[in-house]
Amino acid sequence: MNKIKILIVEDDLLSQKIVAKNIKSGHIEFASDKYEAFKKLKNGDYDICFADLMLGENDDYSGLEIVKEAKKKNIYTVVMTSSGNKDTINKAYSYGADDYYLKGNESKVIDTVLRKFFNSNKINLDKDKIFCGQFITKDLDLQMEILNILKFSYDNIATLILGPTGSGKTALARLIHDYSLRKGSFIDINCSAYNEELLEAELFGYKKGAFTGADQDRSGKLKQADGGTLFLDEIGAMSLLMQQKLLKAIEEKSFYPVGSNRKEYSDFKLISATLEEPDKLLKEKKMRQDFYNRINGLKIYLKPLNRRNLDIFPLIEHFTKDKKQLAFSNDAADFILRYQWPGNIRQLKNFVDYFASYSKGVIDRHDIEKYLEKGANSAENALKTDLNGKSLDDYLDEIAYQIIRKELENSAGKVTSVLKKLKISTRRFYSILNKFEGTNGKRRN
Amino acid sequence: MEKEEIEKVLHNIKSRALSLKNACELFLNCEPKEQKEMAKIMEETSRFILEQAKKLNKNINE
Repeated sequence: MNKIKILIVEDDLLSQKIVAKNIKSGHIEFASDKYEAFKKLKNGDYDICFADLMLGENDDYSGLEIVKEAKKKNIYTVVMTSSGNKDTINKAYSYGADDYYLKGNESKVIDTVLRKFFNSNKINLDKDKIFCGQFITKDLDLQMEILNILKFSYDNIATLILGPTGSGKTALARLIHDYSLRKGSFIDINCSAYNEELLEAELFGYKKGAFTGADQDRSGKLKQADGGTLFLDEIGAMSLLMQQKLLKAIEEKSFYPVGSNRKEYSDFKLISATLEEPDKLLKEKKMRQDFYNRINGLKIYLKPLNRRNLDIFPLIEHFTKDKKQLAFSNDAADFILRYQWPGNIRQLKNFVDYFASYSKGVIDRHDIEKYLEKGANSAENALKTDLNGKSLDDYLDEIAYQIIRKELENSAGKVTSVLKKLKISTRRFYSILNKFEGTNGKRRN
Repeated sequence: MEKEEIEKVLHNIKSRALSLKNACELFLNCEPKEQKEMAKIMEETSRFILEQAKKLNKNINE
């Protein structure tokens, strides 16, 4: 997203710094007197202007002229003053000021001022830019819901995104982060990819020696997201204990890395996502009520792709932007629109990537059906297996052992690399090795 | 010194004093490079306040 453009008109250099520091992000420019301000207003395209009323030692409220000038260009104007003179403030409003604040409490006040600006509908939410580029959808209901969410993106309200796998939850989370104007990074983590021990280490970080394999200090996702956004995908997979620990960190904005007694601080915006129904998670006691209350400030549901089929061809166009353009027969196009797309947008992207690489000429229905059948057969074949009298657990452990052995070979025996790559606990790692190998490291018969 | 002039001087002192207060609150959260810059401007601001206070003092006591 293009950053919000902000003009600060203030002769006091210290005050310039203070206002800029309290505005979390955006592209900020300064003017120290009315002439510089007029020039910038004439040439620039600002979204919001902060204007001091008195510009200079012997000034006579030339800030009011700035307000007038900014108003001509329909710029949202905020007057800053250390004088609470009612007449002057009324005058500023009559010239078109949108808001004002008394100097002295910038750290608290500027946040409120910016929130009012965002909620004023004067912020330039460019629908075309958002829905034809950043998050593609022609679905009007979804567009409206997303715009409503974006209006609150500046606030630190937690957002919960619901929707099936591959429906665009991460893309939406990134969009919310972009519009939050937070200076920090967008940090994401899929909670289902880790067991409890590793998830804790990933989220909170750890101190060297905290556990086997912790050969150096490492900052976790919570710290990395400081000043930015933390996106927790598949939050339904998080254990109740981890929910409790995370809840404390969210509420106190502080936490202890694993193995450390030194408190760390982090101020992050929280966005979560899950494909599961929260009511079901609560009912089955897989989610704590207090945790759910905390992550569910705003909620939005992303429909599966088969309920947004107006988006299919715009998405195909987007995915082929820098690739070979695809041509479909009428029959093929019809099939694409009717197909269920169980893997949603992610499946559609794979489909596009495949045909952009391998197709020649017009793609017909048969080509698509063959591609989809091939994908389905691969999944089916994976399930055709002969246990040879073993239990399922033993069979799966055997597969795990082969994978671990291969990874150990690939990483020249580095256990920590293998643990990290396979995302398994040290306990599981050694339990598998001990099951199939003797103390001499050789395979048992 | 005219009342209007006194008001202006007082306004200048108050405005810059508020900036100093805010700067003190932010200072420790700034990066070292920013702190150096801020400290320099804080010194200039303090000097400005001193000049204004001297001006006020001189005119009030005349």
